[in-house]
Amino acid sequence: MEPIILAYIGIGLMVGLAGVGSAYGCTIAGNATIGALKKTPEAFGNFLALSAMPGTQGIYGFVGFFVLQGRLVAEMSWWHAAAIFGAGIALGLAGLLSAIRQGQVCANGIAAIGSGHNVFGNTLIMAAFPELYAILALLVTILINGTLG
Amino acid sequence: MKKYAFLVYHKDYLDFLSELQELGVLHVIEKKTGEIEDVALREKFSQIQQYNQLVSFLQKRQIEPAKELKELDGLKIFKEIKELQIQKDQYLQQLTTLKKEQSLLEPWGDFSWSTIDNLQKAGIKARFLSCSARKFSDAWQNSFYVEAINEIKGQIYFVLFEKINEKTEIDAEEITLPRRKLSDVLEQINETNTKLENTETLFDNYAATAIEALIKTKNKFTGEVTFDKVVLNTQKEADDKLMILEGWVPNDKAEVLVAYLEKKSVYYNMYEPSKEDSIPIKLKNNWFSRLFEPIGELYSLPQYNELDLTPFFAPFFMLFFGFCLGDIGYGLLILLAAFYYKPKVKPKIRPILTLGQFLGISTILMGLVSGTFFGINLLETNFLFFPSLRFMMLDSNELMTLALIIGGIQIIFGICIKAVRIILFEGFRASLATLGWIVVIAGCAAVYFLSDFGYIAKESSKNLYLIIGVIGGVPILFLNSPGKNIFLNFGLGLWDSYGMLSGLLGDLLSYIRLFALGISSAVLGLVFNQIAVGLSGDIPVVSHIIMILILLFGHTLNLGLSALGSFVHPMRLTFVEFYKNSGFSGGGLKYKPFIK
Repeated sequence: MEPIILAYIGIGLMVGLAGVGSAYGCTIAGNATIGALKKTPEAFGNFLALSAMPGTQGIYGFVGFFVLQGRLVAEMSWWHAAAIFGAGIALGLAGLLSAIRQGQVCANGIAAIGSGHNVFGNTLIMAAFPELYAILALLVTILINGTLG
Repeated sequence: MKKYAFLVYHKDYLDFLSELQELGVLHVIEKKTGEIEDVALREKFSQIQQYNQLVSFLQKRQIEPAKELKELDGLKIFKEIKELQIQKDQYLQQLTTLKKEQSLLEPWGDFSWSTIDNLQKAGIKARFLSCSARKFSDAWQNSFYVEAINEIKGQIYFVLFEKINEKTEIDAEEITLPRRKLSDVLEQINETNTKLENTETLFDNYAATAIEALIKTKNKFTGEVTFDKVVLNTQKEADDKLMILEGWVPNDKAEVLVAYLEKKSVYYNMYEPSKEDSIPIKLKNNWFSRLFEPIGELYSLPQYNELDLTPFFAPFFMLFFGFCLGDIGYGLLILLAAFYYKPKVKPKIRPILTLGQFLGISTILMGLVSGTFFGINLLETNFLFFPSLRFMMLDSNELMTLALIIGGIQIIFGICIKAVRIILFEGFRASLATLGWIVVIAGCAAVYFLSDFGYIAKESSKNLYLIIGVIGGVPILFLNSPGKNIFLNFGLGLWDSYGMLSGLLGDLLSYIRLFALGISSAVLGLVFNQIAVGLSGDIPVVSHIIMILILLFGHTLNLGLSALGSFVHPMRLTFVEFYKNSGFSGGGLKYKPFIK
């Protein structure tokens, strides 16, 4: 097997899993929004902001690929391939699961706002908690890229 | 704040309350029974909601308000519009029924039922049937009395005639028709449509003239609700003859109230707040910090004996937002948008746009530091607007260090605030352990950087660490709880140190998000620039249009999502890391005066 294959598997996991996570997260929050709009259509701005929050993990995956893009050459070493594969697993998994879970936090917040509770700010803060770990995974990807001479 | 209790005779009570409402300084203390259950009050609440719905229903029609508004009776208008809405629903239902009849009758044309009835009298029954054109065979024509009337979409509609007492077996679908003439149905549809149009016109008239009257009436209800709530929060004594009301008044408003009470010779008592009281909070901030109050309120107001941290986190929040978004172009956009809309919005929203201006300025400054303009990395390009600004720009490693340094500064700053608060509210001796921590953290950081830059030799730095450790460590381990014995102090000190050290590391690393978010928004901008240049091809004019479209879409998306993140994450750093280290617990009650 050539090292480039492993590297591309890593990139696939990175972009694919993080993107799937964001798609799921936004959908979970979006569904809650549709339900909550029946009761409080005037809070759509709040719902929009909360539904957009799980959308960032997919972007982190994409940014991660972009950072590593220059390393993907046909004659790459096993060292580079392994590094990219590791970064891909880290960012892919962290993005996938944190986005889905973040979507659930946002959905609960949206439902609560729909029932007339004023919890927009609190939900934003709570939703920022799981996101940190996707941000850290992106940071690790950037740092890994820095270690590849 | 001072607490006041009033004792009023029941006959004078409602007048007293009205005058109190005019003054608008008293924050009424609510009974501890939780939500007050009162049928009349609930009724008014639902009325207010219905008024809100009507107003937004009319506002959605976007009709220009009439030039000359007459005084209208909101209650009457409300009833009229409600009735009109019910009427509209009835018309719509009628229309649905009529349309159904129309679709049933249409294939058969405009025939008269009297003909059918005459045949019936003569002993001949007409049956209305339909089947697919392929099935409608010539064989039927010979064996039954059938007549094809119409063919629509491959379906043949035909009539079969038979004697009253016969039942012809035929493989076709029987259709039950409404006993109406098609032309009558069509006429009724037209009539109903005209009625509907008329109701819409009436709605439009209301939208042009009645919105203000409705809002006025709603506000009257809202005022009544606040009034009723106060009445319900009154304690009744001596066979309901005496009314007792309690509330809070800010010190600077007390004069007005006392002057009124003396004039009216109302019996009252004034109390200093005690520790058990939950005292309402009214924030006092200068014009800059006040802009950040809405952000602070998203978490919680301070308690009465806490410092209000708004002025302390405001500059940090501004800097953090800039750090996360960090793009000269985006900053300019935010700044210009805030400038453009500021004169156009309601005065209530204006402070938010002023906040937007500040955040925009911060984004521009941090964009200069990171060297990003609409995703273009200025460090790697040759066309700099101001080459002299290059010295300001940091590469990504330096930015990461900067994020951590800023985080460290905010954490130490938070611990200093905690020490000040303890000195103010609990006395100097209680603050010794906190001061010890400040010595340890700030001292070690200073020595580390000084030895890192070579100002201090490695050997002497070790001794310095030791000295700082002793100076800070003694109060941390032995003086953390004045008045308790030394062993308990030591145990608590150890526990406190463990919590502090493990917490500090996590808190500090949490600030690294500033750098990661900054990188992420910059890279995404860069990506959209590349896609725009790469995908647009080289067809003259068309390529440029495609390029501009991609740039517009991409940067709008990036600005929206990144701005959201840049707002939320600094908020979290403020509320979690900064508030924790400054010992802020919050949970204060907002001062809401009883006012018209």
